[in-house]
Amino acid sequence: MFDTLAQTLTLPTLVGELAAREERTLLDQIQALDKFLAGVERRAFQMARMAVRDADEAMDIVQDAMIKLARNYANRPSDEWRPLFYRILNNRIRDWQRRRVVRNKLFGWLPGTFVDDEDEGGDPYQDVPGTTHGPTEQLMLSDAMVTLQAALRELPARQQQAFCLRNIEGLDVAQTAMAMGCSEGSVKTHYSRAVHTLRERLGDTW
Amino acid sequence: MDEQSARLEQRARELFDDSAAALDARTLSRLNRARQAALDVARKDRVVIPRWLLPASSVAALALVAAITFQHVRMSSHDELGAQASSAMEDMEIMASNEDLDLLQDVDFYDSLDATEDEVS
Repeated sequence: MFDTLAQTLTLPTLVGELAAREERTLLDQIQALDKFLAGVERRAFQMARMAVRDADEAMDIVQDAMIKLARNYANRPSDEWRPLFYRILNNRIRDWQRRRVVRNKLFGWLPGTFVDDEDEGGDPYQDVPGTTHGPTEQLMLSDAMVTLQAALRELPARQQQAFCLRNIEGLDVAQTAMAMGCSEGSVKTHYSRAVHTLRERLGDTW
Repeated sequence: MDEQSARLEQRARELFDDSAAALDARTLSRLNRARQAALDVARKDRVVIPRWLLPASSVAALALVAAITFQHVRMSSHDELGAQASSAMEDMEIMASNEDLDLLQDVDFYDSLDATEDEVS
C-alpha cells in the first residue's frame, strides 16, 4: 500500500515531464517544418504556375500541398518531406488540370469564359522590383525563362515532372520515384527523354 | 550525360533559381501566409497536455490508484464466495449428469444396504 502511495506521488512529476518533452518535440518539429517549407515554397510556386498558367491558382495549389503535408506527414522523418511534398503538389496540379478539362468541355462554348489572370492590370505590387537584378538583366532573364517554360510545357507531363524534380529541385532518383509514384527506372527514362527533347527544341545556343 | 546536356541542365537550374529570387513582394507575402497556415495546422493537430491540466491529471492518477486498490480489496473478499461457488458447480455437474436423479434420492437406502451386506459378510 505504501509503495502504491509512493508511486502515486511521483506520477504528477512524470506527467509533467512527459508534457514538457512533448512540447519541446512539437516546437522542434514546427521549426523544422517551417524551415523546409520556406526552402521549397518559391520553386513549388514556379512549378505550379508553369503547369496551370495562373498565379492565383498556383498559390492555392501550393498552400493546399503545404497544409496536407503538415496535417498528414509532419510526423514522418524529415528526409521524406521533400518527395512527399512534391508528390502532393503534382497530384494537386493534376487534379486542377482535370477539372479544367471538364470545365472546358462543359462551358468552353460560352463567349468570354476564360480570362488570363496574368494579363490583368491594376496590381499594385507588380511594379515592386526583385531584389537581385536590374531592369535590363531582368528582362533578359525573363526571355530565357519564358523560352524554357514554353519548352517545358510542351513536354509530356511525366517528362516535365521528372526534369523539374531531378534537375530544378535536385531530388535524387529514389526521391523522384517517390514523388512521381513510379519506379526508379521510369524516372531515368522520363528524364533522359526530357533532356533529349529540350535539347532539340532549345538548340545548342540557348 | 554529354557536355551539351550538362550545360542545358545547368542553365535551366540557374534560370529557375534566378526567377525564384526575383519573385515580387506580393507573391512572397502570400507564400509566407500559406506557410503559416500550414504550420498552424501542424500545431493544432498535435495534442499536448497543457500545464494547467497537471493538477487535474494528478487527481486523476490518485483516483486510478484508489480504484485499483478498491478492486484488490473486493477480489480478496471474493475468496469466501469462491468456496460457495465451487459447491454450486458440483451441484451443477450433478444436475448435468445422465444419472437418474430418482436413484440418487435412494442413496440412503443403498448406504444402508451396503452396511447390511457388510454385516452379513
